[in-house]
Amino acid sequence: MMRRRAFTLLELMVATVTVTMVAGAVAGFLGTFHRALRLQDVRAAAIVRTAAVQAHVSRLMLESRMLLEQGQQRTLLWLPSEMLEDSGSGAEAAFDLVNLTADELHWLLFEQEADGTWSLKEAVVNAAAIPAGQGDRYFSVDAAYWSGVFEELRAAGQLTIFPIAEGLAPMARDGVVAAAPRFTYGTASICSNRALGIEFAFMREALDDAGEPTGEEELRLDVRLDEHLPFPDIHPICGGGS
Amino acid sequence: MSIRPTPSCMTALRRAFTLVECLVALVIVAMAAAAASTAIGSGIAAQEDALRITLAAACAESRMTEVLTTEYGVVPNLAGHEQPGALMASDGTAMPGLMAEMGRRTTVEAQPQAIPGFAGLVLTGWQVTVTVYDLDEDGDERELAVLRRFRPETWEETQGATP
Repeated sequence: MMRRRAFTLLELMVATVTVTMVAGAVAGFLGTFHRALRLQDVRAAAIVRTAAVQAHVSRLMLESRMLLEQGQQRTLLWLPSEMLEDSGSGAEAAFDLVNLTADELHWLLFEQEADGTWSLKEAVVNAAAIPAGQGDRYFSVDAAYWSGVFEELRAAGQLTIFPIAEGLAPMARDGVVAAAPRFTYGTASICSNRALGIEFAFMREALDDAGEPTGEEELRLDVRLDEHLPFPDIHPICGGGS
Repeated sequence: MSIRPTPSCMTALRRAFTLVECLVALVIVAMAAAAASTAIGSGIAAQEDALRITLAAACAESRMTEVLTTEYGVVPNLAGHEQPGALMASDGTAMPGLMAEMGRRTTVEAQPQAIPGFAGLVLTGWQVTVTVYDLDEDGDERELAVLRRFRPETWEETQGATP
């Protein structure tokens, strides 16, 4: 008959230690694996969103004639729907019509979300929401005027705002993190500016064992994009001719 | 009526793993873990390269923005080599993070271009090439992005005006 002796204490201790070591190694491997996959997600998002922002803004800049508002968190691109000479009635006084219903105004804006991250968005006028006969605005080099137009349209629910890239953070330069993602410009004057810079970052906070953010940066990718107006069409008010 | 296994059958069923079987199992698990680690490492490296190439393209585009918005006559002044760590955005500020680790070469050549289908029509302009690279572990240059564009001299510029 088969002999059925029990494990000795030594055998049990060796088995316990061995299992613990194997489990520790497996847990360590899985932890590294999990962290690597999380960082891969951030990098993949950075690649896709950076390319998407660049492609989207490049297309808008290609079609734009001027930047009408040059704020740090908001800029306004003026896309022509007709030649400047045809923009009004032809008379000198009406030589500066900007039609709200003709898809001429495209705002790019950085906005902070409830979770603290930033989004780059585009706002366009919802032509259907503009009452008949109220779609005309007139060209101005005053940025405050265009800022007022934005606020007025937004308050009236006449803008369609959609995200271009979400989950962004402020860019860091030389170890100093900015207060917010921002736009920069070649010159302060809208009459002579032809360049738009976009500064943002992708940032991932480290998580503790419970999966809660620790406030420490685990990964940071800072991005600076530069775009230009290839076909500027400067308004005569600026003195450059078209 | 039920059939019960005989004691000799039970002995055969309850045999423990041999040392060789345990070793083979351990080797298989180790090989699988090593293969998984290698695959993850390769994936991360490839993704890091893709990210650097994306950012390098942005660095090249940044320089091209400067070239395309600079007065035609002084475009050749932008030709040159920026060492890694000395890269500047078009507004003169330093490039951030990984972008600051890249180097950039800009060449500008006068290269009139004939327009196909328009006999005798030749545009004067600059052929601009921007190359962005980084340095590998050995300090050798690794080309990441190359951008080529033709900067024509506009009619306004031939008249001495800003386009």
